[in-house]
Amino acid sequence: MKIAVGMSGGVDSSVAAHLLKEEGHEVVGVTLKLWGGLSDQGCCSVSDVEDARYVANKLGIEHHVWGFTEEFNQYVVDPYVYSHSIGETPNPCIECNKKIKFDVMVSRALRLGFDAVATGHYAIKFKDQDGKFILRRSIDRKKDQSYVLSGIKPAALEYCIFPLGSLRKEEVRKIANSLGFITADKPDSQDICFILATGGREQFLKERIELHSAKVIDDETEEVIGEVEALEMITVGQRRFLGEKGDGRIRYALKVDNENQSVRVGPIEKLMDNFIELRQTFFYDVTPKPGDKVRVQTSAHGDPKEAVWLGESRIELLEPIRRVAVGQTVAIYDGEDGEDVLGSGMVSKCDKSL
Amino acid sequence: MSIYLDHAATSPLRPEVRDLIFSFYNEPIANPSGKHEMGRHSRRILDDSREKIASCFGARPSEVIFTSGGTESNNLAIFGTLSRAKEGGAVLISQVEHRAVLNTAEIAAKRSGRYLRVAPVDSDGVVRLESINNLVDETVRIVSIMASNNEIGTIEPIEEIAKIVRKLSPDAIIHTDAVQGAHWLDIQKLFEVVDMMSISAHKLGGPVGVGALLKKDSVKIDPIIHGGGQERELRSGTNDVVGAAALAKAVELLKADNIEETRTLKNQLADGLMDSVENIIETVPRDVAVPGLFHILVPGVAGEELLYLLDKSGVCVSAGSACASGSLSPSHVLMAVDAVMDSTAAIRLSLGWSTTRAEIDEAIDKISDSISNLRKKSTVGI
Repeated sequence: MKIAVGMSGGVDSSVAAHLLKEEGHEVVGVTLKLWGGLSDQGCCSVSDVEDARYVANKLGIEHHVWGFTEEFNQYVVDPYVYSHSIGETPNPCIECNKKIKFDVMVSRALRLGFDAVATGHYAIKFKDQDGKFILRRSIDRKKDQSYVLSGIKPAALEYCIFPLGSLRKEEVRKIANSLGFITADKPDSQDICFILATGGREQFLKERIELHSAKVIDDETEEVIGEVEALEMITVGQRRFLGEKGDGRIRYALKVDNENQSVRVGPIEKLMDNFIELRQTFFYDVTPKPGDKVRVQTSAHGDPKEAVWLGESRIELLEPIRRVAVGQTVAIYDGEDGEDVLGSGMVSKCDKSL
Repeated sequence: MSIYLDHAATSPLRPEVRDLIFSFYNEPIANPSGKHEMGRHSRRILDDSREKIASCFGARPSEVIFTSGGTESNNLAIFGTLSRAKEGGAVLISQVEHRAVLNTAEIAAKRSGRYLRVAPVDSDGVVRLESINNLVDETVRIVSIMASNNEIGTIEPIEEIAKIVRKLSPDAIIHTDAVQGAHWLDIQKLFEVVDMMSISAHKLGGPVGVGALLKKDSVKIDPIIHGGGQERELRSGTNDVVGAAALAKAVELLKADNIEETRTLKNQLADGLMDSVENIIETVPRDVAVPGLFHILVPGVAGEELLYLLDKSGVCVSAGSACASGSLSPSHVLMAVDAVMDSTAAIRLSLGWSTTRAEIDEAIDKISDSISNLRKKSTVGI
């Protein structure tokens, strides 16, 4: 096959490219230039592009840079800012996978005559006996990235290859070391690539939208117990920086109320929910029927929870979970062993009842 | 065999220049400052090269300062002039300068507390003379406007600009970046009307790493590289004797080049593409650009994708301007001539001494194939 490997300049994608080449594929390394502004690290800095090129040279494969800064702004950054502006909590990495790597990039690759796009994500994708494409958790549970890939459009799954799904991170580093990749000891990227560590999220948002102060209201007493500087910075479930009253009680953000410019806070019990309602829900080749058992994962490294698919984008959890912020992604796995991603959706509501 | 239509980026080394370079490496090249026969031998080669270049430009040998290339020449011209100029005042450049002038002028002006004035261009990329009239006064210390543009090829009216500048600001120094133009323009006439002029060997079929600043003896500047005082104190560092000889050879070879042949080839390329591909746009009229450069806009196609397919089919061209990370970003030149359009590839085809009719014919086929291939697939996607 002719495969475009997304090479971020990190260790994982370097090894992914190597493995595919070993399998005899025609491999071309592609580094995406996504963010036009300042960044600490991530997919876009000159040094990451150079690292990817050095690795490609070492592997004897071609290396190209594909610029998608406009698309990145349009599909990832602008929606990220908008989502914060209406009090939601976006996940730009999932959007980037869905709209950029496995849409814009895959589309370009297909136009240019490639058969598939590979990345260094830890996940397994294969075609089962019935010809269905399955997205599955990786062998290395600590590194499993099936959650952040769960937004990949069904039409794109066919063209994705994840060579690291059956490897452990230590093995990947070992391979990189044995091949003398300069990326072998590079730390994993952690934060949002377009946000600087120095200014953080707040600085980034402040430069783009007006931030509003908000009252902090105790949900039990309706008493105003403080004020926060930026409503847009508050995430449901957080318990710090809420203008503590100082009475020793721990209060969590229960609701970011954009309309009334307030944050409702209360004890942990009030934060525990049994129901999630999703929007933009989709499934791959297997769609659960109402009443089917499923497992859901609500964050990149959260534990999967047992749940029942109610149909019409609604889920009931068997055990209460901490409220998931609106805008976050819920990955839905099969109910048997929770290995296969069935699909995903974005939280529109998470509550004690629907 | 690849078809090389990227002479404006780097022109391949001409065989005559290559042979000359090799011939030098058969014997040790001594430092021309050496007080021995080998040193004197090197000095003779250096002097001889300087003289040859001077004669091609209608200059005196003392008016040729060897540098490491176009960028250094531009830096020397701008920083060197401002270092000696009266305090304050302004620096005037055009909107479409190469970044070697654009960024240098901006930094030099900022560091020395002067204003940067930028002359606009018309939709063909030609500097508007009325704006020169408006922007030049006696506070302008240096005017640096390119002889011809590196992206779209537009020839700038340096003679007319110089006339206006001499009238309105007699003390202003006039510099032109002729890195792209030296191949195609009347370089004697050009040097006659300016004070300084930058050239680079690798755009002329010489090696990368050597160039020159031609500077009238009457114009005084300060060096930007200090040390042993070579090049009449203006550019320290042991002389690159072989580089100087190679530059001289490349410049001499220009005289024998028939640029009308190149113009004919460009017209054949342009006509061929216009005939075989629907809906492509000549960015600027052919006759406002130098004979070796043809720039087109291809709607409905992404530049990076077209470049990729052309690369696969062995056609070397440029698109947009490559930024540090290697990806394409909208160019200030295309923005200036209002040629930035959504999902439109901007392709620079540049011809030179090695370009043949056969190459042009093959290029037309391959470029039109690649464009129609991509346009057919424009809806392919997820």
